[in-house]
Amino acid sequence: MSGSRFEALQSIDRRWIFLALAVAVIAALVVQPVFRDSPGELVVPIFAAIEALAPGTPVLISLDYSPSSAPELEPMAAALTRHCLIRGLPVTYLSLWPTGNHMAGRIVERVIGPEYPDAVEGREWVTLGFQAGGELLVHALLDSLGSRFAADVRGIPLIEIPALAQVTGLNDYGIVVSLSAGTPGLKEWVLYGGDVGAFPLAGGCTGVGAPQFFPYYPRQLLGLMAALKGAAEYEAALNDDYAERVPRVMQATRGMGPQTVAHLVIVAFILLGNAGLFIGERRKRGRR
Amino acid sequence: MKRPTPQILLTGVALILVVAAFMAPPGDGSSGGFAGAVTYADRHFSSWFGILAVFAFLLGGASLLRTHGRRVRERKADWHYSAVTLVSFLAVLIVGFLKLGGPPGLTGDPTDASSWLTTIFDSVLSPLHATLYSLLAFYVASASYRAFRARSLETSVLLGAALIVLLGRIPVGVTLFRFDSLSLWLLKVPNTAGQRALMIGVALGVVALAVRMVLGLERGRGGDGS
Repeated sequence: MSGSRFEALQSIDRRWIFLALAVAVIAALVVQPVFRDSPGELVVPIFAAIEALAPGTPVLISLDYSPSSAPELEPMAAALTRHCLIRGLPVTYLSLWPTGNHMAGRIVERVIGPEYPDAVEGREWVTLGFQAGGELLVHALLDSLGSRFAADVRGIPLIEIPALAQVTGLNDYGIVVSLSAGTPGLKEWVLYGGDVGAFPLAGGCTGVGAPQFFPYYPRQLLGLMAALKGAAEYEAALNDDYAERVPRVMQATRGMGPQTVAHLVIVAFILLGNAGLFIGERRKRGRR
Repeated sequence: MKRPTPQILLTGVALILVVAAFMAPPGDGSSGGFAGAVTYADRHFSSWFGILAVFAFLLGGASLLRTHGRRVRERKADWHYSAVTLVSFLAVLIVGFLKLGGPPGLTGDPTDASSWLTTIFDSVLSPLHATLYSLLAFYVASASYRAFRARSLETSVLLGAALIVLLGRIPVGVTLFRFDSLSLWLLKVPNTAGQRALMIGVALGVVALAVRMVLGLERGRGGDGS
């Protein structure tokens, strides 16, 4: 191989990289390889905390994301919902993002409706929806949900909703989980909710957002589902304990196939670039 | 008068909220006196934000209409994009306000599955968001290929960390190389140290800025036009 070929390895046209990635991901989507994960150190505490709650204890899930980050965060919301409904824990959905109402609607439509047809809105789950305010909303909810939400998204007053019978403010929840794609989101829940209140707080976040939340773990955050892998780990925990009551392959586990292939393609290109650099440099030194 | 009034408001509210954050006693603020006032402020100021947000939305909507309306009227550069913005904004606003297709009335849920708003959300907004976000994967791949080169000690460390995290986050990497623990250690220890340094630095900056604003030294916010 001539020196120019090694140099070429260092400057592959980005269109070839795009093409390789597209082909690899499409192939993985068609073949649907399943890579089983196992629950990791950051996810186990969340699963265990929900597992430890007595039936009937309310759980709050804050859907702080939009459709762009739904592929990473929606599987977390789905897995948490499955776990809560199996354990008989009424779920409250709210959102710090305007898109949150629809994200809650998708969970109802794609998970609760088909998999738990006996679940009743208002009894097994309730959607409070979006309210503006971010951190100020979280602060206001500490003492009273009613201070910012007069009714759920159907217009039913909170006092008439059985799922909220035990709830006045955030401290009445067995656990609060924020699934966050940015601001406002998990950080606001930590600073204005979990740190001030007396409820366990856990989170889920996108891959790019994960590094900023590690300083809060484990003292301010009970656990963290980081990216699609975090969701897949939660699904693995569900599969371990409730194999008969949840789908065998869920959304995140299915998504890990294309993600694995994409990571391998990126790693391959990084290694190619470095091989070109390394061999090219050695040849240059040899010529001298 | 134009400048002192907002400054007095800002200073007063900021001081009350700072005091409340550190020493608001329990209760609903009905006890009266200074403690009662502080508790009342702590409990209710955040709720008032909801009311302000409504006006902020109206202001934002009006500003959007004015800015993009002018661009379209005057045929400024790329006015077509402004036209798309205006049409989309008005269409979604009307569909949402009138609750077309969904349960009508004040309490009707605009996000009901039968509403046009949900159709727009599912058929237009969601695919657009997903498309834009998924393009990131291609740019990340290209940028990683170009950036992660072992040209020096520092870039070699960066390359090593990137490979460990990339492989530690996929089942194949965990099975073949056992990179999961190392990847987690990188995130929990060196990353946390760097993040904390940043957070503390930013927090100190925010405190300094807040003090300047409370003291009226940050003129840009006082309404003097500077």
